[in-house]
Amino acid sequence: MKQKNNSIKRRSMWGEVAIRFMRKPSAVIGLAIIVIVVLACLLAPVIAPYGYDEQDVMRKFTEPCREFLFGTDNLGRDIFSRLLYGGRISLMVGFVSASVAAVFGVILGAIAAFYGKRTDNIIMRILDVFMALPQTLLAIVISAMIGTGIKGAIIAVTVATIPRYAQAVRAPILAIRNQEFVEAAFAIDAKDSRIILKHILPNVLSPIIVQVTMGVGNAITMAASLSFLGLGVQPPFPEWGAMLSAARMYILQHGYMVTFPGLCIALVVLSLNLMGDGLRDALDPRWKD
Amino acid sequence: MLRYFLKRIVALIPVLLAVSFLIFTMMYLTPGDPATMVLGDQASPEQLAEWRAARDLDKPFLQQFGSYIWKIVAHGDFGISYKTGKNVTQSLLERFPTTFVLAVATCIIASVLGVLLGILAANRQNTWVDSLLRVFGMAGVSMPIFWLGLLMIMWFAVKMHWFPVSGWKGPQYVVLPAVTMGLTFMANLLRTTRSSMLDCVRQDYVTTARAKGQKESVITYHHVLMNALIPIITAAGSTFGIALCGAVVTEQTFSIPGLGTLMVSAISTRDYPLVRGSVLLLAVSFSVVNLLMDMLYAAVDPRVKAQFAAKGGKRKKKETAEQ
Repeated sequence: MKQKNNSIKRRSMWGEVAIRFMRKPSAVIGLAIIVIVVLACLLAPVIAPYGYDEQDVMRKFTEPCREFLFGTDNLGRDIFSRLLYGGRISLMVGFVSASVAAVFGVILGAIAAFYGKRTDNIIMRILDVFMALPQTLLAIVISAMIGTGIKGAIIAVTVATIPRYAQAVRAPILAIRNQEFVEAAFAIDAKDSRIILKHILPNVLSPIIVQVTMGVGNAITMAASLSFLGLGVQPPFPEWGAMLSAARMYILQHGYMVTFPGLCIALVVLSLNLMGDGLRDALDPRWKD
Repeated sequence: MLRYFLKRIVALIPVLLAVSFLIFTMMYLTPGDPATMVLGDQASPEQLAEWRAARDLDKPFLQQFGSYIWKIVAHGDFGISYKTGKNVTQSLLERFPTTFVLAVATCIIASVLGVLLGILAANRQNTWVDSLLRVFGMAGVSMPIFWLGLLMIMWFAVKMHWFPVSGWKGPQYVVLPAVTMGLTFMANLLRTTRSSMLDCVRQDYVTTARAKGQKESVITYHHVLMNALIPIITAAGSTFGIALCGAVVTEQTFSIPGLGTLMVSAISTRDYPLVRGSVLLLAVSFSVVNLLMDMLYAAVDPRVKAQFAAKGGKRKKKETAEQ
């Protein structure tokens, strides 16, 4: 009994969160899938039976079989290997653009909410203009401007999603901005940057974490849409959306070419969403409906 | 109320101006000289200069933007396409109805499915049905539209021959793309309906209805749903706006000659007046739809009216004070 009490006492906030997170099967499944996919993509050179650009023209359009797990494409490249290498690009684009967008968005939202009045007005009005365009449309226009390629896709997705993060962080900061602990920090003459970083941001970390988790999935879908439209990552790079775009032409005869890349995107995004959902409940039990 | 509407409409104008400025600037900053791109490397400097002058491209940036906006506002003229030489306004008007019909169909499918499943989820709260619907909704959001579209083509067009593979020649061509988008956008409505219904279920008037022995179906549809409708209407409206713009990818998947395909092909041929025009039209429709939904919301929900009366309208304030 005594031991049990001790172990309860020793649990940190993050320990509590982890336990609540683990209690939700869907969230754990999501986490497990993400871990497996990330590991598989990182270990692509070890796992993949072929290179992503290794062609065997004699064996093109091979249906999935033991030798080619997911079949081969129009140039005789192994789809399974390409998916593993492509996952590196898709996941990287997703993680990088979501984190960069989150950093910029949080900074903008925090400044707007913290200083309020005119600063808030200016920042939010500018973001309003960006939000008057739906995200995908904005990303398309940006990528039309800066050109194609992995870098272009990352920039387009990042810029298009920044307003969302700013908005997500602004509201909770406004809510706690006038609370006593912030007032106390003001009273001891703490610097603004210290108040924001040490007192305010840690208190709005939960919504940020949830937003970023789901944002990675959103970014992966958006980058894939861009490639699908011929704007983002270009062949021969095996990004998942680009693979789908290329496979589209053979949909009438070789459906399997379309199935697997899309399945990868859907699975990863669904897992991230499940994780985000679980994190939301775990980080703040009050949010549970 | 009228004043609230006017205020909202007036507030939209600077946003739209800023959006067009943003789009115009982005196209302006795009690297590459349109004159050389259209006339080719062989063109003489005089030819290039003449071509630029005909399109105001030799003027300073702000003047170019000013005349662009003025032409749109005063004459509805979006300029001339670089590639085809056709009037952009005409191309936009040809393509817009297709995209609009697609968005309407999507909105209907998403609303019907989302609301019905949302009611089901709310009635079976915390059972396996609820969890299943939750995952189902999340799966819909997680699937990339173009992949779902391709799967639909594979199953219902290629294998079953129920619907045509692609194109836009009649009502049967609307089904697959609209269902594809509807399934993806349904989740938001499902969630909104569920939580809004659950909010209403806990109200006293529902308990009263149960106490007097009202039938459960009447309670669900009459007492609960009718009162839960306001957030649902807003969600349906935002679905329409997103569908209008989400159509870009769907149209590409199903080779539908709408505004989205027009825009994407214009981007690949670097036909900037056409890109500008289509993006601007999509952005304006998106904003207008959102505005209309806010107005509808205000018209339906007496609380918004009351809020406005308290904040803005002085006359109304007096009236309420007198009462």
